[in-house]
Amino acid sequence: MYRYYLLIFVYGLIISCNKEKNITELASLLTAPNADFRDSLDIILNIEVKIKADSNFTYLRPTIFSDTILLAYVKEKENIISIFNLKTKSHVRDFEISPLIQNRDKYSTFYIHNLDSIFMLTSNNTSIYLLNGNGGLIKSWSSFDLGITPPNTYIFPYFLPQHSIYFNSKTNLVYASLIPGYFPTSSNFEDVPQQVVFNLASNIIKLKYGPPEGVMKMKGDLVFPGDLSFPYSLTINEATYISYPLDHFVYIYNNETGILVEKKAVCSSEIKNFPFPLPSEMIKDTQAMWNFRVQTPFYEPLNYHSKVKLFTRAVHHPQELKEMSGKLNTGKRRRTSVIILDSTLQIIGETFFNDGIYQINGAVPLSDGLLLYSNKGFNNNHAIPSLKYEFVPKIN
Amino acid sequence: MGCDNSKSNCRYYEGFKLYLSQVYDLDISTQGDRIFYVLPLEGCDECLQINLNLLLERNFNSSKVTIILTGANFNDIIRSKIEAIKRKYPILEDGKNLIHQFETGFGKPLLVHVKNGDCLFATSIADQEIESVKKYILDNS
Repeated sequence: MYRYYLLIFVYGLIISCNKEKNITELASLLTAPNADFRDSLDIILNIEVKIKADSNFTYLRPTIFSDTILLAYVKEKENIISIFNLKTKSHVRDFEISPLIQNRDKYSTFYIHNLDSIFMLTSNNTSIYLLNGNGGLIKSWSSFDLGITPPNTYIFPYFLPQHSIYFNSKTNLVYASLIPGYFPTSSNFEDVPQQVVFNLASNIIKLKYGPPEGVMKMKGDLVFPGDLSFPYSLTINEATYISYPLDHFVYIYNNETGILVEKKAVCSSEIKNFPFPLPSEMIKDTQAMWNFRVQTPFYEPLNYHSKVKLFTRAVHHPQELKEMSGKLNTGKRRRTSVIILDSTLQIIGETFFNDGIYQINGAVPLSDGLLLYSNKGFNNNHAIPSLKYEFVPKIN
Repeated sequence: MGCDNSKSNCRYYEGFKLYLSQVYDLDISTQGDRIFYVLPLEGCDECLQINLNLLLERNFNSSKVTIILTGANFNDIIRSKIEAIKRKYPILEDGKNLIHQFETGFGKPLLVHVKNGDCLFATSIADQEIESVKKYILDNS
C-alpha cells in the first residue's frame, strides 16, 4: 500500500513539475526573441486601382489570381461570385455556384488553381469543394472521404477566410490543415499532426505532419480565442511554412517528409509580449474571449510575393478594450506593422500602418505588393480593395 | 435553469443597458418586466434555425418578449421565418451589428430578463440549451 501511495505521489510530482516547466517555457515563448533586423525596405502606396463595381452589393473575401483577376462573392446573393479584372479595372462576369453544395454553405474564401479549377472553402468545416469556371461542382472532399472517422472529429479551418489550401497539379496533391476537435482547447491535441497532404483523385492521405509547436504546444489546457488558435500554412514547392497568430516564430517543414527543418523568429520591433492564454473554463464566456481578441496583438498569415521573392507578415498592435465613450474598441485606429522578409525569412524591413489603414484580414497579397481597402471608411468591405502598395528601398 | 439563480449571468448588463440606450434610445429602467431575445442573423444558419423555430412554434407573451435582430441574412427560407417572427413579436433591428461595439456578452443568441431596470437573468444560448431557455421564457412571461 505504501508503494502505491509513493507511486501516486511521485507521479503527481512529475506532472506538477512538468506543468511548471511548461508554464515557464510558455512565458518565455510569449516574449519576442531577439531577431536580426536589416531595415532596408519599406512598403508605400503606389497606385489606386478604381474598379467599377455595383455599389448596391457587399463584396466579400476577394482572392487574386495571377495578379489580374480578382474573385469576390456577393453577400446579398449568396450563391453568386463576381469576377473583376484588375488590369482593365472592370467587372468581367458573374457566375452562380452549384446548388449541389450542401446546405448552401456560406462561402468563406477561394483557392484558385486556374479559372476552371476553383477550390471553394466554406463555413462547412468538414468539406472542401472544387468548382469549374461556371460554378459547377467537380468534386468535394470531406474529412470522412479521407478516411478520418468518426465524422466531425477533425475540421478544416477554412470557415475562417484568412486560411487557405494549396494544390500542386504536377503531383495532384492537396495541402491542407486538418485540426482535431472543434476549437483546440485541450492539451490532448498537442502531439496530433495538424497538416495533411492528400491525393486529389484517390482521396488517399500521403502524409500527416506538423503537430502544434511553440506557444500552441506549451499552452496545454489554456485557451486563446478560436480564430487565434489555428495554424496558418503557406506552401511553396517542398517547403510548408506554419505560423500561428500568437507565436513569434515561423516553423518550416519539408512537406515531403513532414520533418520540421527549422524555425525562425519573425517579429515586430515594437511588440515584445503576447498576453497569457486564458483558463479553459473561460471559453464559454464569449465576451471574455472577445475582450481578449480586442486587446491582444496578433499575427496574420505569412504571405509570399513571388515576383519580388519576398515574404510579409502583418501584426496588429495591442489596443485598449474600450474607447472613451464606453464602447468596445472596434480597431478603427489600430496600428499594424508589416514585417518584410527576404526569401530566407531574414527581416529586411518593417512598415507601420496607423489609423486602421491595414484592416484585420483586409489585405490581398499580390506577387509584387499588397492590395488594401480604401481607408475612407473603416471596415469598408462592401467595396473592392483598391490601394496597391509596393516595396521600395528605405531612405534613411 | 429557470429557478437556479446561481446561474444568472448579469455581469455584462451595464454594456447591454448602454447598447439599448445608445442604439435604440431605450431607457430600460422605465420598461417594467421585459425579456430580450437577441438573435444574430449572420453566422451558422442551422444554429439560427433552432432559435427561429423556437420563437415561431411557441406563443411566448409578446407583451413581455422583445426580439432584437442583429445583422442580415439572405437565405430565402430564413428570411421568410424572420418575416413571420416580425409579425408575432415586437422587434428591434440592428442591421449594422452595432451590438458588437458594446460589452453585452453577445456572441451566440442572448437572453436578458429585466425588471424595473434590474437584470434578473441573462444567458448566452448554446444550441443544447434551447429547451431550458424555452422553459425559462414560459415560466417568466
